[in-house]
Amino acid sequence: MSNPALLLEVRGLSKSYPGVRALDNVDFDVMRGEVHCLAGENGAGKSTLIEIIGGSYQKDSGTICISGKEVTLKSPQHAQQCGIAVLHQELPVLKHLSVAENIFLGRQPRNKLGFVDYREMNRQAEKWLEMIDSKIDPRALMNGLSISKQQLVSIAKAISLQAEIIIFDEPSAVLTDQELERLFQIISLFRSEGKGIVYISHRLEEIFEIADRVTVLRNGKLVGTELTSTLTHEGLVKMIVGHQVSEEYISNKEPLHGPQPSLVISKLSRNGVLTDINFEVSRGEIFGIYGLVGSGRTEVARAIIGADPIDSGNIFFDSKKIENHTPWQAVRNGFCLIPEDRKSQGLFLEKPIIDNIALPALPQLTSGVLIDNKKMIDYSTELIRKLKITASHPRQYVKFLSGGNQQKVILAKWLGLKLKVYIFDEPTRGVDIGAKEEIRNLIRSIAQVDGIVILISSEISEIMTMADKIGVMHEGKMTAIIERAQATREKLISYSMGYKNL
Amino acid sequence: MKNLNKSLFGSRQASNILRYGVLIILVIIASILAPGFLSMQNILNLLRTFSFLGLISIGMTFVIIAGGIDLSVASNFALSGVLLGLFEHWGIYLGHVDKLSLLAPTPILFIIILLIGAFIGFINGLIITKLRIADFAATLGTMVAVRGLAFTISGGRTIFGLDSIAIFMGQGMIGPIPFVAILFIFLIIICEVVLKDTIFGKRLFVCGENPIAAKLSGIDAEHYKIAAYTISGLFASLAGLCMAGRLSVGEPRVAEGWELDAIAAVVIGGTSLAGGDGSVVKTLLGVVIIAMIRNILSLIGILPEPQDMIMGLVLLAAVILGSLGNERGALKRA
Repeated sequence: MSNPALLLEVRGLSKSYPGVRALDNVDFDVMRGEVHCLAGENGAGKSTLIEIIGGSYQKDSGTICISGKEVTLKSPQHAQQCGIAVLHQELPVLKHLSVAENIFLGRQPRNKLGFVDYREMNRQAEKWLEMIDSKIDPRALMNGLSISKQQLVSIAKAISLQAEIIIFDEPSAVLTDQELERLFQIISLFRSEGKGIVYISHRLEEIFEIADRVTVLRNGKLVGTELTSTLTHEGLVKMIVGHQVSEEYISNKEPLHGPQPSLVISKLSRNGVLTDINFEVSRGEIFGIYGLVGSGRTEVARAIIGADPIDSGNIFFDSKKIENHTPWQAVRNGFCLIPEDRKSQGLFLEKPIIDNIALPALPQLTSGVLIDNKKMIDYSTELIRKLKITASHPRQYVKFLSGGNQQKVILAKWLGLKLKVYIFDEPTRGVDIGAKEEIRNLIRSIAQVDGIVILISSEISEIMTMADKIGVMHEGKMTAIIERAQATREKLISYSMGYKNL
Repeated sequence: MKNLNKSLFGSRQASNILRYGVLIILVIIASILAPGFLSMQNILNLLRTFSFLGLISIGMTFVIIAGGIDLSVASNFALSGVLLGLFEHWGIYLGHVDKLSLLAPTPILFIIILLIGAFIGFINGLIITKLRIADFAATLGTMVAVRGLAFTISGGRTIFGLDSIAIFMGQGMIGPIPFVAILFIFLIIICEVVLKDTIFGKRLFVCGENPIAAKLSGIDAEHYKIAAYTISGLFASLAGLCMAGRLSVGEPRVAEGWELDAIAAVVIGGTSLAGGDGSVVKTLLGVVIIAMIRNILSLIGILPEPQDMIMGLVLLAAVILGSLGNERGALKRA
């Protein structure tokens, strides 16, 4: 059953990580002269699939055939030899080398003495660069080039390797519209030359613009492969989201009307990262922010607490302008962030629980200039008890705690201070199911005592059960703010992909 | 509870016990080699000889806890002695060559010089945090520059003749105990309290361990790092003043290479080079171990250069021991 047009054929591919089935019996193929898009939510298994095709990960089971021959891809180098090139979003370029050196890394043309023949290398590099119609000087250093030009260099490298299958991992996330236009022209060129293109995207428009076929994954399983010419936007969204009924998420909480918004974020912008973010949160309300990786959701949080500088915009609290230029100013103004990456940004793993909890409260725990150890222990144990942190001893090192308990330690650190605005960035990521619910209840209880909560999450079900209003981020903009009663999975996902007219 | 103790404190405790064990063995070896070793006189002498390095090492401990390293301390030390000499011989420029002609009363001179020393540390901190230069590179720069400054302003000459207060700082005794040793021990106690029981100390530790988390916890980690370097500069300068008194001269060549001894003392004492952990009491232990090893090597007639070689090996052993006893050392590398 050798179809000569079939470049890549993947059958029954499975891959598990401890506790997760990342890919489950997935079929995927690429024909000569086609652009095949891969779509799906965060964590649907797209990355795992291309990492396996690119040779970075090893499959558990299934077969991969290239031009009809079965292969076992042992390494990225091996995949390269088989004609597969993966262009990652974060390109592994050597910034201090020239364009030509990057293209010919490890296979530089040599002269008779065995030294690198730079003239020949630059000449060849120029040839490849011309082929994709780019005017990049092969002698230029990589770190002087924009991301898009670096991307072009990687493309030149891919074709110089005679790659037949070129995989683009979400290039639109890092490119501007004009640059993307250029990339599409190059992709069309490849298509006409009979190469196979795999293109991962979160943007629906883009998928319909360039793809011949689209394959959708959800939770590691294949949902289906369709021709884009016979597919509608709504149909694609349905495939991505699944046909789950949204009833389970219907609120049991009364919608809040009445109090004036206490926290007003107005026209927050940061060049190239955030554009004109506006939203309002009242006391006792949980404001959810949903968005895909790289949409700017964490950046909103960091901008509000002053961890990143903003170029323009204002924050008002109870109609008073708040100046959060640094996180310590923000804490003084009653704002705190429970960060996404708790181990590297939220905790002091080599310190006892009590030190972690008492850290921001130290000024209250002194007698004279010295820290009162008894006050510190009382303060911390009270919070340990309240939040039901499971630890063998208050002086236990935080690094020995489970993920859920670590998260509670960070929470305890701020709850003791009775702040006004709590921003949670992915509070339940990497936390086991029991602790997840506990943490969610804690977040709800903060809102119930008139706290203001901003909850950032990429888990749709979490954001739909928790938040009163949901702001959806897409490419640094808040594309929609949806009341909980109106929120559906379809809406959130299509807004987060920049598709508005659902 | 037994299990708990093991998991909480196990490896750390073990490596600390090992350090005290090393010290006891060193004392035994020394007293066998030199029967007079354990005499009060010798101990007090020893105490004086390591107090100068000890004072530098206190400041170095602050910097290393804050996650940095300060190579400029020995140069700062030398500059202080030279400045003292110059300020006391101001009259040279007025034609009174031999006479002490103080620019200001001695205590004021001391304060000025200490402020200059602290200022050099402050500049280190600024370069490192605001210009984002690696600690090592920045302080290597000031190390060379400050030593050059000491040579320039002294014209490369030793400045003889200091006044009695300075000499008391380096040579004086209170009862049977050298003044500088009392100063050293007193400051160890003060600094131990500052590090363990004040807000400043607690925050310094967390900034050293994880500056990003410290920042998001509302602590300006950069300020704490600058403070640590300023303290280091202050202590280096104080040690330099005492040393000038000890030698009775302002000498630009003094203490060359001591920055490495100070780092060694801190590390051998058990303070982690990764930052965020350690204490000045540990540093005291490290200073004593270094002084003991040097003393023993001298007692058995080994010249200073081979001594350096052996000290280097001891330092390596301490660093390896430190990262074995401390999971984080291993983690950092991974």
